[in-house]
Amino acid sequence: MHISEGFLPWTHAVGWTVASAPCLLYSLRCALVEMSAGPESRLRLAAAAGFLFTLSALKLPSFAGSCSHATGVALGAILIGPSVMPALAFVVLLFQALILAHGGVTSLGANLFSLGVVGPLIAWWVAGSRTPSRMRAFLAGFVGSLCVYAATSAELALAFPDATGSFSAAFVRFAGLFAITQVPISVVEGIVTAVVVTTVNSYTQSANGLTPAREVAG
Amino acid sequence: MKTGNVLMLVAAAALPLSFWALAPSGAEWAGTDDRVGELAQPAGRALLEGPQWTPGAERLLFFGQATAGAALLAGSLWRMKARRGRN
Repeated sequence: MHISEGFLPWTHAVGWTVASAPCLLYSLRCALVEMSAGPESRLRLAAAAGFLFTLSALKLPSFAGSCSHATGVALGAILIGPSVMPALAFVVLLFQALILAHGGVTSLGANLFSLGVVGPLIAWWVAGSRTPSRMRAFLAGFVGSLCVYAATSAELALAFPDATGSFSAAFVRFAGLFAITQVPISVVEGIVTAVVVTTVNSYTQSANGLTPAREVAG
Repeated sequence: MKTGNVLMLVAAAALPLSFWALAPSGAEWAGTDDRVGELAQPAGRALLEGPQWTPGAERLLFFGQATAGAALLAGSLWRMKARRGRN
């Protein structure tokens, strides 16, 4: 889903950077709080980071000889909350932009907005709890992954509208390109997310009878 | 790991493997990021030219990132399980 370096017009690159910056700053603060909250929080954060690093680097085969990678945004959004995900996504995107030439510095804001903000927020909303059922965890992974690509399609459609100037026609064009490859890969991401979420919750909750804060509140 | 989880992971692995096995001969495996260029041309200016890797080196780097992430995930799960055992 990474938009390449120099691909967006500079006004869009600056705009997405400005939109992502406050999310990143808030997220860094949340990540620091999470790290100081105890060993279990640190382990959940590490698991979310590892999951994001792994899935965002695995290019998987899909329809008709195309390939793409999953996003890995749902696990952290479910286990910790969407607030820490921009910080984790920033590390991944910066690493890939500087070392792998995948994505870029000028497109970092746009990529961060789709991978670190939109995807995790939707996944968290779909999951509905830190201890979702397997099906809800699957749906969170599946929908979260698709929404990252939908957000990227919207960013591209804003920058490159249709010949008639239509945003929606351009969005359908870009989303159609991503969808054929991404739908089966999102199914894979949903399954893996469900497995890891249930595993983590079985390890952490049975250890000390934790009840997630959102469930207590809700 | 529970049997249900193992079966789900097998299903997750089988899906991309089946695409790979059934792909037309000579498939180029173009990524979606590359294919965006079919719909639009770059409209900005690159601020930083990234390193130019050979395809083999690039695959190795991506694999390295995935391996490091998997090790971090596995290590975290292992520590969680150990903590559960202690408690």
